[in-house]
Formats: sequence, structure tokens, C-alpha cells
Amino acid sequence: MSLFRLRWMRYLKKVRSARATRAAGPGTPWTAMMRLLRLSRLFTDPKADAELMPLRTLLRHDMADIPEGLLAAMERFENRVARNPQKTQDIRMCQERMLELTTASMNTEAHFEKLTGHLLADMPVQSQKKSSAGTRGLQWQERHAGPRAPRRRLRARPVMVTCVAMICVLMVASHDTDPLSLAVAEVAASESLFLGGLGQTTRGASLPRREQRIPTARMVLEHIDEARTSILGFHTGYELSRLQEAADLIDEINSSATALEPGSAAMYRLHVEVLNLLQERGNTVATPPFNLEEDGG
Amino acid sequence: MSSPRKIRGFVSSGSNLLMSYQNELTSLESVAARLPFAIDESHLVNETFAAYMHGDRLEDKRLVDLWTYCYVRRYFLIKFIKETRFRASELDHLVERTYRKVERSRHAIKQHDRYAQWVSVVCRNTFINFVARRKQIIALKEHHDIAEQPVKMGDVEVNAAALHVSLLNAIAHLPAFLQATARMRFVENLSNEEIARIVGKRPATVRAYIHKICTRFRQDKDLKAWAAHIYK
Repeated sequence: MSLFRLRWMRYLKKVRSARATRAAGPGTPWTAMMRLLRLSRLFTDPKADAELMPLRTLLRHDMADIPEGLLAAMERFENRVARNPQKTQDIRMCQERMLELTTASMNTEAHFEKLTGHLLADMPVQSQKKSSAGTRGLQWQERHAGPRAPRRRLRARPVMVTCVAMICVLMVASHDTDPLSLAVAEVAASESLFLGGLGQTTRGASLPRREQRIPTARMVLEHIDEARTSILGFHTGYELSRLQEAADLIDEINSSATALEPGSAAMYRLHVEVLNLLQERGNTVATPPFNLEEDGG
Repeated sequence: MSSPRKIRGFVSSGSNLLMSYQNELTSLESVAARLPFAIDESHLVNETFAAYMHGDRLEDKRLVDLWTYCYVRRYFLIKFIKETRFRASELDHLVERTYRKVERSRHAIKQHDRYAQWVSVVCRNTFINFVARRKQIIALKEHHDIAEQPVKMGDVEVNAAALHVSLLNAIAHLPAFLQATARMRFVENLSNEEIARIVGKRPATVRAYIHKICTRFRQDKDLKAWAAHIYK
């Protein structure tokens, strides 16, 4: 390797090292977060026992008041203390120092009342402490095993069922209050027809005798069915051109003297509803060629 | 008043000294028992402070004052336990001075969601000043010893529990599939390979998960507040 190349590589190494140092400097947010995470872990780290001994001594005095999430770490600490006489001795020294401090200083309750002006008698003791999401005492093993996920699904299921039921009820309700739909249902009932199963008995056998009579009525109903528009069952409307075709067909049935299927009262009513709808939507068609009252309908 | 509480384990059976110790400690805890949350729940403390600043209600003010007093007292108690040269008579004075300082300046805080961290900074600065001024009245040998003990970043010996609670909260807010990995890596301190073996995924996948976790941690409000506090 030439001398020049060796120098160049050394220089390059220095530059890379300097860049890495600058990128990982304490001011950068990423490094700050990494260091914070390392510090956050100290509470569970046995190597930090000596440094955290005063804090642990204070916390272990009343385990009921510490957040539940810290209990696992404190229990491990207790096990370490039980096995290690040196740590037991350290705790004893901390307690003695604490005693020395507290006996020489003012009574804490009196000091608090003097300093803040609040009376402790006005502030009830809170037996149930609030805790945030991460400290509700669920161990990581339990989380890993996943008891939480099914619980969420169980909670979500009734909500979903309720929502679906509400949507269905609204869809049916919006459909049933439509006058044209009611008229169609009436025609279908009077003519022994229903959309989706026209021309068939309940056992699936075809009705050859009615085949010649049904198509005209069936075509009307099909035209109306195709004319219906909606968004997921809501905002129901009708396509005017298809409605007009349906109206023409009904008119043909009702007015034709040679029709196999003469206009029934239900068919007249359907005609009225279709024409009303067309008139409402601005399609000025002729008024019905009959009068239901005069016809006694 | 809260009932006297028992000291755990070997300490409970002991001399009059230990009985006295128990009674003395009970007085600090009887004050802290009025808090509806633990002293280390910085997230809930910040919420309470934000409510107080927003609504100026007496109940919120009481809670904020109560937490501030308990935190400040515990902060200096821990510092004084560690440093045996400090006199017990100085403890009350220091707590009082710090509490007054906090009470005087807290209305000027712009970020209400960082009150707990801000109080910690005030405590740290007051303690640094206290140590610096105290050098003048102690022997040269002691001066030398104390000068070699700088106040550590973040006051870990006081805030370790609060930092850990913030970490647990941040993990709880992660998506479910990342939580186990985050706990194993950042709480249990397992290596990527160990985690991969436990969760049955490839180490590369675990590394990708950890990168995602760190990215989300950087957006966590409480962790961000602590990070800013540590590197202020």
C-alpha cells in the first residue's frame, strides 16, 4: 500500500469519526431520546441499586402508594435485597439517615400547612389512586400473551351490532315510508307478485297460466325497481326517464280495452303515485286520465 | 389523618429507633396520601396543572400545591440522604425556598404540559446553588469531595421512578404489536436476538420494530418533556 493511500485512509477515518461524533452529539433529539430511554430503564437495572437506594428506600416503605407499573421492579428489588446482606445494610443506613433528617426538621404536615396555607383536614385521603395507561399493573408477559386484544373485540362487538341494526332499521324505515314503494307493494300483493320472485310459486314451479298476464304488470314493477336510486339505502330517489316509461306502461294497461290484464284498483293507485312523483320532479306530464273518487277507488 | 403504616420485611421488627423512623416517615406519606395520583405520575401532574391554569379552581390549586410540596420535599430528602455532610436543619429551609420559587414563577410557564419537569429543573438549580454556596462554609477537604460530585443530568436518583412511569405510559400508547417488543427491549433490556427468539420473528424484523418504536417515542409528549429537561 502506498504512503499516499495510507495517509488518505487515515484522513478519511478521521473525517468519518468526526461526522459520527457530531451526529451523535448530546444536542441531537435522537441521541437525547436514546439517553433518556437508557435512564428510564435504570429503575429496573440491578446495577443502579446503589445509586437509587434512597429512592427505593422511600418507595418500599409504602408499596400501596407507588404506581402499579413499578411494583414488578420493586418486587425484584426486594428479592435482591433478601439475597444480598450488603444491600440490606445499605437500606438500613438510608433509613437511619432519613430518621436523622426527619427528626431534626419540622413536622411535614405542619410545614405543608404553614407553607401553602391549605389545611390538610380539607383534603381527604385518597384510597384509590388514579393511574395512567402504562401503569395499570398489567405485566408485559400478559400483554404479550394478548388478553387485551380479545377484550377489545368483545367491547367492540356490541357497538358494531348496534350500528348495523340502526342502519338496517333506517334503511327499512326510509324505504317503507316512500309512497311509491307502498303502492308497488300493494300492486305486488293484489296481483300475487313480488319483485325478485315474479312468476314463480313458493315451491319454485313456474305458473304457465299466468305467464301471459303477468309480463305487463311485471314490466311496470321492474321499470320502477330499476328507476329507484339510493346511496346505501338512504337518499332514495327515482330516475325520471325510467319512471316515465313505467307511467306509459301503466297507462297502456289501464286504457287498453284489449288488455289481458285490466287495470285493477291497485294499478290505478300505482299510476297516481308515479304521475305525482313525475310532477313533483318537474316533469309536467298529463294529469291522470281517471278520477279515483269518481271510480269509487 | 392516615393510619400508621407498617414497614416491610426485616425493618418492621426492630428497636425504638426504627419505630420512631416509621412514625416520622408516616408524616410525609400522610401528606402525599391526599394526592389522587402517585408523585411519579408526571403525566397526570401536568394535566392537573393545565386544568388549574385554565380554570383557576381552588381544588386544582390545592392539588398542584400538594404535589409540588411532596415532590420538592422528596427531592431534597433523597439528596440529603445521599450526602451525609448536609445538616438536617438545612432541609426545611431548602424545601421552603424552592417551594416559594416555584409558586412565584409557575404562572409564567408557557408549556403547561411540562410542569412536573419544570419543577424538577427548579429543584436541580436550587440544589446546585445550595451546594455552590455551601462550599464557602465547609472544610477544604469536604470542598474537594463535593466539587468532584457534579449534579447528574436528569437527577436520575430522584426521577428514576417518574422516568420509568413515562416510559411505561409511552409503551402503553404504542400499537399492540409493538408493545411486547418495546417492553422486552426498553424495560427488560433484552438483546434483539433474544427478543427475536421469544416472539418468533427474525432479528431484522425486531430491529425494524425497534426503529418504529423509537420513532414513536420521539413523538410522545411526556418523554419529549423529560428529554428536553435532561438536555436543557
